[in-house]
Amino acid sequence: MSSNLAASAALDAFMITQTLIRYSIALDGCAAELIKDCFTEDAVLVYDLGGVSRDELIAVSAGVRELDATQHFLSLPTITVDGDLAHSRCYFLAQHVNNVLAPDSTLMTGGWYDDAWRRTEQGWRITRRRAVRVWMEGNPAVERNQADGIETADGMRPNGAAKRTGSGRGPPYGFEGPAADRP
Amino acid sequence: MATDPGAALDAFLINQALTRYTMALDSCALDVVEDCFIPDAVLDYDELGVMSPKAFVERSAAIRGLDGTHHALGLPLMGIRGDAASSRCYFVAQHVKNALAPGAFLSTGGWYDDELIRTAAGWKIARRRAVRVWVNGNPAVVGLPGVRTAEGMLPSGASPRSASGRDAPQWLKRLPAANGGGTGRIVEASLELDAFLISQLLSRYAVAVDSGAFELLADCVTDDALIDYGGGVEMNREQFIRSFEPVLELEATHHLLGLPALSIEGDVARSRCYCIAQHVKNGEAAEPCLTMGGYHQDELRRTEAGWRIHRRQAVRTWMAGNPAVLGISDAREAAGPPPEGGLQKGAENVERTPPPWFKATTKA
Repeated sequence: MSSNLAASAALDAFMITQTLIRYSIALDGCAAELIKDCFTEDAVLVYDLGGVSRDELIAVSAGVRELDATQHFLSLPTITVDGDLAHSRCYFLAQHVNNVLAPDSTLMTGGWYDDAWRRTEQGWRITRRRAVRVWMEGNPAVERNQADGIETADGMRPNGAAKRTGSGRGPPYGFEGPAADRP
Repeated sequence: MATDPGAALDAFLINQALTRYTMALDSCALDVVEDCFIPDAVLDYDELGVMSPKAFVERSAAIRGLDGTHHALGLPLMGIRGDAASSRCYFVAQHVKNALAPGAFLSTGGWYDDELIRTAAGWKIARRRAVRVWVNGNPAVVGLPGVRTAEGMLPSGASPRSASGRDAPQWLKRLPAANGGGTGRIVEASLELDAFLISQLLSRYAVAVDSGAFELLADCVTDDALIDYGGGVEMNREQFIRSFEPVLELEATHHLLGLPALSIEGDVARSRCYCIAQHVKNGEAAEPCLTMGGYHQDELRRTEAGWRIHRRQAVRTWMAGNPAVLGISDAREAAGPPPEGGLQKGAENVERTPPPWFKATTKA
């Protein structure tokens, strides 16, 4: 690997990581409009609410103001860069708090964002996101759109883990088998 | 040396090697798990004992009997020495077995102490010691009796501070400063190298606090630092270091750090870094854990000895668990101001805004 390529791989990873965390901080800081430049204009975002456009996601995300706190904690992402395209999986732990429901005022969910990226004139942008919720623990009523709980192998439950055969539960992009470190 | 320009790339590749393990494990891609290690690697996983990667993968097949596992990693602290590296990387692992509802969850927290080597196929783990610091929930989810504590086996709680692996890693004490280690000259500063060095500083703080190695905190802050942990009180460096002494009355603290958002301009940087902090007091046997979430908002300065925290504001945004673990009565008291109501846990009354320097991400 030439040193120029080496430097740019680390820089690309840094820039992608900054965009990932930008999303969390904007969302949790009740500034959902700032998540706009995490995504391309034509991005397709698949959350539990189904596939939505960037503008629809921003509108829905403004709903975090109705909660007393959210925290979308992000763990280390795995990133694969192929020229001007990239893929990443980034784990999240998302806490949601609604004080009026005390003592059952919290709902913690865990899972990952599987993202496809494109290098644009303005920097790296997400073109496709699938948010995979793997587990949820706490009071599902804290967040209204999760009030039914989570779909498990045994049907809907207020708490638990999603069925392993659910979509998005397989390994991330590029993990099909043993391979050298990427990129 | 960690301060040569290639360090940022090695740090990225080591991050990838660590992450690959958790993501492969949680998606049951066990052949990929095995490939994260060199074939003759030595793995030491607490009560599972010492074993080879092959034996570990055979035992790990049991996770297919769980409905989900989720191993979130914190920012790893690393010492990179040419083709070898040491790393301590925090984890919080959730394990779920729906059939045991309402006791369907077991979460554990601790760290992986790893020795990695550079091979023709990339960085691989040659030696791993998994140190489980705390356990919270129903240990039957993973078929274990619980956690071995000074008070005997408890379903939830923390291992004693004297337990093996609970102290700061030896290699960290040999590193000269909070600069990711190495005495190499900085040949060429770059954004990604500064980002790596700052992440090392942030995780050094967490390792120092959680392993009770408070002397390591002196290398984390500038001489004239001002640190605000709530309540409108600004601490100087000495007050800041001393403020952690009561932590030793707990069996464990565990500060899992997320990805920092950074703005770096020359010798000054700004960071907001999420933190999920577990606090464990075994004496509160019925509910020994108190979890807090929030962030550190820092102004950092580049000094002769590396990056240092110059200003810090620690903001707690939520709290869950048993507040008595920290001897506080409710979430709002934890934030500083006296409570207005009898809020046992929940969200704190803090302003929710992005940091003022937060602006559009641009092409580097």
